[in-house]
Amino acid sequence: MYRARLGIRPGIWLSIAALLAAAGAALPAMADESPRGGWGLLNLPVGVTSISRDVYSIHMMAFWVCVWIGVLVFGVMIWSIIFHRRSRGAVADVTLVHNTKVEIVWTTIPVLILVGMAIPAAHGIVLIGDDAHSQLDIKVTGFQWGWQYEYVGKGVSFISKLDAKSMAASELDSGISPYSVPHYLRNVDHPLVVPVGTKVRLLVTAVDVIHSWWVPDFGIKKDAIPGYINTSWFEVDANKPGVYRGQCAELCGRGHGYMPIVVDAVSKADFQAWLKREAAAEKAAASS
Amino acid sequence: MAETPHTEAHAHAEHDHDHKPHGWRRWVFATNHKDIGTMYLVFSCIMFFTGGAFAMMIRAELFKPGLQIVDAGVFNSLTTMHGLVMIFGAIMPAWVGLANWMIPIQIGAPDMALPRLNNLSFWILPFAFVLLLSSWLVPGSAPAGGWTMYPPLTLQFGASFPMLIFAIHMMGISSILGAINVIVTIMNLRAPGMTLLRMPLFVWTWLITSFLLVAVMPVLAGAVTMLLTDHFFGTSFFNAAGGGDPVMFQHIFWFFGHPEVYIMILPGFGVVSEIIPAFSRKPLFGYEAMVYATASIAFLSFIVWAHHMFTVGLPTSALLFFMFATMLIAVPTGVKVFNWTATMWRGSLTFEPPMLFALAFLFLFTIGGFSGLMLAMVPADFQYQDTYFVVAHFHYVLVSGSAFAIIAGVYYWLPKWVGRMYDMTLAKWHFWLSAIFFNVLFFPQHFLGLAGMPRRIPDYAVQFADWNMVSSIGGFVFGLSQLLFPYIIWKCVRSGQRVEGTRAWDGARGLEWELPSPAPYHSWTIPPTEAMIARGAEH
Amino acid sequence: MEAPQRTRQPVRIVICPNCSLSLRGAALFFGGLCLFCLTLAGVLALMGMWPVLPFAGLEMLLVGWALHASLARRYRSEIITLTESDVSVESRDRARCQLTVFQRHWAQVKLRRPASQLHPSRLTIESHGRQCELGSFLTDEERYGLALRLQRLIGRINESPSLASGPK
Repeated sequence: MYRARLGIRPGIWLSIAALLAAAGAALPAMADESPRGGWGLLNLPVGVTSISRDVYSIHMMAFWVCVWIGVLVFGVMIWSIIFHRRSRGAVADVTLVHNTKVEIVWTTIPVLILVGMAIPAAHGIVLIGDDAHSQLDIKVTGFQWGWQYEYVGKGVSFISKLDAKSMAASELDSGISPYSVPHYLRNVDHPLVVPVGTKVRLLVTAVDVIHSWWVPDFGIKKDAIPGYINTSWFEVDANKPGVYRGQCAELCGRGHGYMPIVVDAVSKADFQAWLKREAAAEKAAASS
Repeated sequence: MAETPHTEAHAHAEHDHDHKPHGWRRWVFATNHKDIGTMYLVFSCIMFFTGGAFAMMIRAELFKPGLQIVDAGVFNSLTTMHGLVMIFGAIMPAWVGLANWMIPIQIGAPDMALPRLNNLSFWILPFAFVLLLSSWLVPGSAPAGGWTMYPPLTLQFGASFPMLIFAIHMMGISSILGAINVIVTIMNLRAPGMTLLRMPLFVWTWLITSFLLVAVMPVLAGAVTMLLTDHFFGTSFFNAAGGGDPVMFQHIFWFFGHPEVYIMILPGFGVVSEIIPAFSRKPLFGYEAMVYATASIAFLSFIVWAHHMFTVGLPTSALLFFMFATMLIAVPTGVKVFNWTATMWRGSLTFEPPMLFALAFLFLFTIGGFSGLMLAMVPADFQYQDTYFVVAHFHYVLVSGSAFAIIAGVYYWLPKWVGRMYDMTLAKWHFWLSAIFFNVLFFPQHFLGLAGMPRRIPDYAVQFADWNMVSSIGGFVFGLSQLLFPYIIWKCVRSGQRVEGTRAWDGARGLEWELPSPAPYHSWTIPPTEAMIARGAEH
Repeated sequence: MEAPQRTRQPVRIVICPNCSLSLRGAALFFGGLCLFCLTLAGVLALMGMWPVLPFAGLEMLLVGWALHASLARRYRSEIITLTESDVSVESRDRARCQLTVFQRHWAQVKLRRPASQLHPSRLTIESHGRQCELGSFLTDEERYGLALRLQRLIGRINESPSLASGPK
């Protein structure tokens, strides 16, 4: 019989080392002034749409359910590991092999918890699926590697690709530090412009391979599939204009990491002005 | 035939050698289940380090933003090959290897039911992987469309594409042959008295696993064949321009793929269900519940495939159905975790390396289960889908699930196989380095995914740099510390301390521990009796 | 403990492999598996994904063959008959029945140790350069038990009845 001769000494030392390393990692996190950068990037964004807030609350609910179940289950396991070890003289209770009551309890309670979690999730699905009564339709077409946006019925359509600075810095051994490029790999030459406080419906498709249109702050992700038109919608809060960034989320070839999405949410008035300018410019470009 | 030992009888037995082939012929023409099991395990170990090398290159490239080491196309090949090699080359052959070694011994059978088929099913594998790995050398490099091979992307690749398809076919044939052999062995070769509900859980989980394999492997074969004909013969199964449906491939692929996930994890449940009772010195809590839970997980695996594709634009009703079905998996999985916990409860625990790895399995697989539950929530999944959160999730269930269970199984049964004990101190170092740096490697990937980093990208925005660096450091140490594993085994085989008696572990139960280690030619003086089987199967 | 037999009563030992699957069980199992897999492949075929069907069909043939091959064990048996003068081994399987007769006086029971510890032992009865393998379908432990028993029954040369008592 081979019994543990060494105990758990290497483990203890390694655990201490890992804890110190973690503490070292956490210190700069506290010093970080930007909550959405570097070490502070730990969780989903709450986002700026009703969908993203709903998604965030579902995410946090699921997270806390997991944490509490984890505390309970891991607590029992750790208790056993500490107190029911042979080196403490624990003697195995070999009669403890079956207990119908306990087994029924730990089957039904999870079912109840799951039902509790499923209700808000089902509500969220219905909310996200309700794309009726949109005020603006935009057709989004993914291609290798960029996005084409077409404002349906507005005569505005353009292509949005990775900006030149990121492109140059992203070459293999480019010699340009990614830190010197503003919004490295998350900037485009021609952002999508949408009005705030307006229900925007996206008609998402692709021409070559499957892509996926994703802006975390909007809480939506939709695959762009050749031959399909998927719909999705968002409505940026009226008081949250700003620039929101995302990127393609479905492997689409060597340029997959280089097709960002930038959405500029502006006030309704600014949007109308932009639309007019853009339509005029396109008309001019077409006639020349 | 029950005879008592008789010293004179030993003199009778001839100790000369048999006529079995020696040298390389022993391995090429192997029909013995132990030889074939050994070959599977060695092969799997080689593939584990091959796939691991790809992972090291991925983590090296992701160490900091910007491209430093490989081109974006090669990066995609690395992620694709890492997935294929680890799944089909490392994890599945390791389980078949353990099945070959242990199932006949655990059910009291002389060998696998179909030894020559067994030989064939192993020897297909090296050829399949030579074919797959040699695709690095052809123009256009190795397949780069992801291990999931989604069309139309995967159809864009040139010379490597048919190599990938044929390699998948060969692996599929190998898996099917292996699974059929396991099924027939368990069904037909159980010793008298070894009823189904007395079988050790490793045997049970493997029986269910082989059902899953037999059920879904033709689906994979059909799916990749359709890719092949789409590419070369102008069919339009998945080609939207020709009236086909690219989403249909995903449905079919994941109809194979989700049971495949359980094919990789169920035998792990079995191994852990053997190890935890052994080192708690207590019978497994709720044996029958464990069997039924395994069967329900297998059943559910057929009706949850679309949770891999919530974002493709499924109708609301389908989203609801697949969400509920997926969440339901948490129930039998929870029952298993509770049963293992209850097995440890009021036991007499010791912490030898197999138990340590089993405990790591228990904790980390549970964490993977939690992220799995979160992923099942459709609205939240819209955010998680195809991000590093998913990468973290499936590495928690696959590495700390399957790989740690395989390592635990090897540490548990190795003394049985070679009759020698390995270096416990080194094995404990292996454990602590693995368990700690596994978490350093994969836990930050949860953060990365939630913060918005998609998976399968060669380069990333600078706000993801910090946690990627932590993850890469974890990856390097985790990867390097795995080199201890073959070294420990090699050292054990060559010069390990001999194990006295039949049990390497005082708490171990089951038929395999009734034999001296390793089974010598006249290992038992009496054949396995019902009493022994009952002792092994005390539930 | 059986002493070497000196009576004129022949001793018969019948050994046959263990088969835990009944024919009915096999049929039920195979039928169920076919039903599941072929229904699945059939549904996919109806959706236009017919290439799954031939693979499923081939696989079911393979499963059927494997069950058939393994069930052939049911027909295997080895009957060892010891008389005063002879040791005869009748080895049967589904198709054949082979009879090997040794002179008891010269017959030797050998349990051969494998070259590798991982391989099974082999049990043979030999004499005059002929040999007949026994119990290859048993586990090592069972084979060892059988070897012990046969060695006691047949005895070594000086234990078995002498030639004078007559080969036939």
